Amino acid sequence: MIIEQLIYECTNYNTKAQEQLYRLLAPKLFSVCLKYSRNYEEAQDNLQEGFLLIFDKISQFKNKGSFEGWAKRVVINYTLQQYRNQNVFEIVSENIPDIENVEIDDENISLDFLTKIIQELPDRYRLVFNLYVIDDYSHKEIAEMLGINIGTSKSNLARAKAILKEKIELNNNYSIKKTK
Amino acid sequence: MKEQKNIERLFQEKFKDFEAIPPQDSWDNIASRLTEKKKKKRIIPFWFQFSGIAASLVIIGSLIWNYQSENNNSIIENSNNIVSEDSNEKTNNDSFENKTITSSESNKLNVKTSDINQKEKNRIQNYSNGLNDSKNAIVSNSKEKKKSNNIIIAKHKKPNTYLVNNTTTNNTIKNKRSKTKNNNLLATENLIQKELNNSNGNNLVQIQNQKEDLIAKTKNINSTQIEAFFEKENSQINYTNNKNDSKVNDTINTIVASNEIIIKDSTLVEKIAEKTNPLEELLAAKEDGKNEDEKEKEKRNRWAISSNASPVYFNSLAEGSSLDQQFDSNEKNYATTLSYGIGGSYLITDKISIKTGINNINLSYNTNDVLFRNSLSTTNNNIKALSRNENSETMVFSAPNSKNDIGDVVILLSEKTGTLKQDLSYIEVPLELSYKILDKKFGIEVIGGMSTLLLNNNTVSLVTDGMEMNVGKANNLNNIHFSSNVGLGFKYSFWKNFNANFQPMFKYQINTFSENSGNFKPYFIGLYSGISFSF
Repeated sequence: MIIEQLIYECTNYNTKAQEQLYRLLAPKLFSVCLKYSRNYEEAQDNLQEGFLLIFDKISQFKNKGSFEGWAKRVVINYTLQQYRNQNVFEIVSENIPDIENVEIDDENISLDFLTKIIQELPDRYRLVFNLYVIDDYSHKEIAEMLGINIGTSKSNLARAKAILKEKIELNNNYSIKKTK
Repeated sequence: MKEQKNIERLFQEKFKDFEAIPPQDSWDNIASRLTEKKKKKRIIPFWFQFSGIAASLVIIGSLIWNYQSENNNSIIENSNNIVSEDSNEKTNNDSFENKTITSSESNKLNVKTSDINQKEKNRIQNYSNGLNDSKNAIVSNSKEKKKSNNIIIAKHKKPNTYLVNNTTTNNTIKNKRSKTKNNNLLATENLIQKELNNSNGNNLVQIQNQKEDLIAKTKNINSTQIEAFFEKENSQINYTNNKNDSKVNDTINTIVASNEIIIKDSTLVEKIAEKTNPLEELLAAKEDGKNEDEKEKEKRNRWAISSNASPVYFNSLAEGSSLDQQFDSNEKNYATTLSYGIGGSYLITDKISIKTGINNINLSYNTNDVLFRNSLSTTNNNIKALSRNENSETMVFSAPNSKNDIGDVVILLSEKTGTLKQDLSYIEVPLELSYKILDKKFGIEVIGGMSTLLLNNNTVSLVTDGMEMNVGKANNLNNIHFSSNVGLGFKYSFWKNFNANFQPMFKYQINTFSENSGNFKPYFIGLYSGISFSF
């Protein structure tokens, strides 16, 4: 079935169409939820709530741009709502070393591991990192979405990257030790 | 294998095609929540749709009622005519008188049970007509339960022939009736009642139960009716007014006939009950989600009804006077008045809708500094556009700068200054197209169209020293004139299908005056605000 037809059926609350749409989009959106949430269980909750929102607001989708992109924004916005009000202990003044590169062993880095360390980030860092690095939002947009200022967004990103780097390197050392 | 990598790039590459299959129970959770929501969502608009229609019918019905209240009498006349076609007039009159007693009596008697075998056959004869009365009462009872509004049947007693006729040709009679205005009213009432029933019995099961109850009750009543009727005789209530004895001679025939009628009555009741079936089907179809029309409706609410009220700012584009040229330079002020009405609209495409309605609009303006005096006899009318009434036959009006008779001291002394106030009231029927510029929770539309205005009040009065006197009416007004309308519409949908509207409209009146309008070019600005309901 063409996606437009499916969307139209969904605006009429056709349950079968809704299920088809879910099957179509769930893998993509669940990966988004996994990255933006604290853990697997919360990712599942966010996915469900996100889909309910999508079905609820589907009549507002005006066929501008891809439906997948729209649906993804709905889900991201929902997760942002869940986590953005969680305060992070701010260390604004600290100078974070701007080392972008990290030494990795490609074979030792699994997606599961990367997902795990993203989830372990403090809420705000996780959101900023995901929005900026993975979903290509600018600091300005992130600042608006999260209700913070641009400087905070930048420093949050730097902190997030520093933490991730540390964890990857730890993992490297661990695996190196293991192989020895 | 190790390599140096930018941390951002690392994540971007890794997550580029990342997909994850959510747990199996996710969809089940969503589906159960969706069905919950769906139920909530669907039931509410369904109710409101019908209550909306009911409300509009009530409004229309009450309007018709107000305008045609005198027709009530003729309803009764009509029905008498129908009855007399088929019946012996004497019987008709008698039973009409007894109507109330019999119906209440038969109610009581229905409860009692007694043995039919004890009845004397010759007595049956005497009361055969009374039996008809009781039977009619059944009809009225059952109809009352159904909230059907068939007043005519309930009110009038008829011999067997009419009843049989009634049961079989009920619909035909209704059709006939609907051809007359009076019965339009009845039909409207029936509709309203049906709608009320609809909303009351929205629950399918409830309707079903009601129906079954009703049929059961009717049958019950039927079976006890004959017994009850003769019990009535024992209770010494006098029904012997009826003079129809000669009509029914054979007792057995009477019983058979009445049984037949009773059976037909019950089929009538069934028929009435069956009328709720389309609604049930609709409900069922809705439940199944199979009704295409309903789907269509849910997709977009094309119809809307609205109410509106507006202050009206009346003014003229040019400095003329519609009363007489001599007042052209007089100061005029225009009162802010009120317009109110109801309207409906239909969405033709996503953007364009057509709307119409009916508004009452009052306009009023004053021509100040008019000199007037009373002369002793009837004088020539010196205002062309004014048809004077008996109050003002002796009055002379003039503008302050046109004192032709200045030499006449008596005239000068008796002259006073007042204000001529012209009150106009119209029924306005607009026909407008609107184009939506913005259609979200808050919407903007451009409106253009025309109105037909029907004159329904036209007075000119003289106001002086706080006194107001009706001096006549303007004779240069067209009974029908038009206006061209442009405006903007703003709406805010505060709840589901309900919108609050605000529409500033400019209406330029085109042919208000038939002649002698001087240089008076009236227009008015209305700030229409109201609430609309779409369905």
